[in-house]
Amino acid sequence: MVEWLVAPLRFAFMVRGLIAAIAVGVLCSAVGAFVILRGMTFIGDALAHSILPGVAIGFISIGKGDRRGLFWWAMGTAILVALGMGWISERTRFREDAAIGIVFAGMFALGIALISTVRGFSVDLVHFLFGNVLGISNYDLILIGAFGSSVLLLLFLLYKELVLVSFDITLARTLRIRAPLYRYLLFVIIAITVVLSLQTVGIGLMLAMLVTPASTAQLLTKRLPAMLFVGALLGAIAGVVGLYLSFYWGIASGAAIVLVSIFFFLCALIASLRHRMLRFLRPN
Amino acid sequence: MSFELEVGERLAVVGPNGSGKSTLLKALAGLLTPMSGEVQIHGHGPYRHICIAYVPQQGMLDWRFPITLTDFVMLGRTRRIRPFRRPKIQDHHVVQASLEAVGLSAHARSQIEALSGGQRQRLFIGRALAQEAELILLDEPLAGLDVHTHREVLELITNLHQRRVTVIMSLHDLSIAAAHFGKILLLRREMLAFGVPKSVLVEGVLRKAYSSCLQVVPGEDGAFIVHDTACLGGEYKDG
Repeated sequence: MVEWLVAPLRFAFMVRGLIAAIAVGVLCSAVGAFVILRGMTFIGDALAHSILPGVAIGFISIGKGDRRGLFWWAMGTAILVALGMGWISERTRFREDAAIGIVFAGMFALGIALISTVRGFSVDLVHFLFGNVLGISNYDLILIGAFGSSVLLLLFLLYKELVLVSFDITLARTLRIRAPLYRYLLFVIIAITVVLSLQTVGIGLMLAMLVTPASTAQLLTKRLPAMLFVGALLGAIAGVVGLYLSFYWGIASGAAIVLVSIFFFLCALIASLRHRMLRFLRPN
Repeated sequence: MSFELEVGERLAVVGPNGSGKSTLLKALAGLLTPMSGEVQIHGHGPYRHICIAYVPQQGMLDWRFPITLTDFVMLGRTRRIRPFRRPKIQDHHVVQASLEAVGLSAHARSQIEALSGGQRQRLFIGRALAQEAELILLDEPLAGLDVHTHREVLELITNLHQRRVTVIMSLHDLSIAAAHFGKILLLRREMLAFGVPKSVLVEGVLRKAYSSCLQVVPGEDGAFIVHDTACLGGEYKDG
């Protein structure tokens, strides 16, 4: 058993992958709690897909050179798209989800179109779509550490304002708190989280990372702080277990992590349904 | 439109559906900017005040949000605690006292989801107290509540007088307005009447507001009971 656990750690790429998976698991669950409570799951997914053209332009302009620049292309695009979506969701006369759907599909198509102009694009596209946690470098880890801890610190410091804006926008306005500022901040926080998680689970599975551990935690807890904590713990565990499964069974790492967190969700769902059934059946 | 209220007074805003009751309350809260003209309270626009609490109609919130009653009431103090700060002991005391004042301290640690309709209204009032509001605006807080719960909420609102909190509340029931409020504002796209119940609840004025026949019957204790009578060809029909 010990050998089973230790064997993967002999590879430096696995150690880096595990650190990244834990960090991303914690980050996505904490930010994901706000995403699901505000009913922003669609926006989270749209945001992840909409950064593809930025990544594609970076990919083409960097060529075969240093891939480090790609992160900054992704980050720049994500923040721009986040601010744009924040603006759309506030001003548009369309239904918000329709407007975001149009931006989302259009940007994603543009990204694929751009990447398809490059020879041998399919391999790279797969990396963007599904991530490659085992390809994480030390440089990536530093970025994840720096940006991830900044996001967590912001969530901690502005917790009450973010809760207020997420739960009761009317109260925020009567208290004369700058609700739009915090709304945009939340969008930018989601954007940064998406970019940091890109290498771990990719664009396609990003939504699962944002939504699943937080939803599982919501089933298991009653208060938001507990939900954030349990979600972060579950996200980290899913990252580690998923990576081990990926190592031994040869499954794509992103998919393995997501499947483990979905498994956790199903367990929590069954437990909470059983709890409710028992309460329902208990004679009074 | 201009009207004056003493500190601690209660005003009922009444009028038919679509007469602008909610709009008036939202404008007073600073949630809506009037297309023309401006709102002034104590000579300032509502944006200058942080002591106005607004209680929306109940459906506006996601009651499954995972917070307790204490958390909910603490939200009212967000502005006073200021960004980057955590609640201090004093804030916790205020929240506790507010929950006690609305009779919900036994449920302080329960989730808001577990509350009944009447308890939710009391919780909103508790939050306004924690906010240290001087003016509370309530948009039809009695809608969907049974008669027993009406009394609970109304008692609480009446007691706000002692705390020198001014209340403006929209409602449909004219009898309740007459019995529990010092002033009544009758609205139908414009202010039709404002003043003590005796001067506002007059059959002629009511007919203009509701375009139907309402009969005013003086009740005990000087209160007014307003009967909606069947109306035929503009004439009252007995019974």
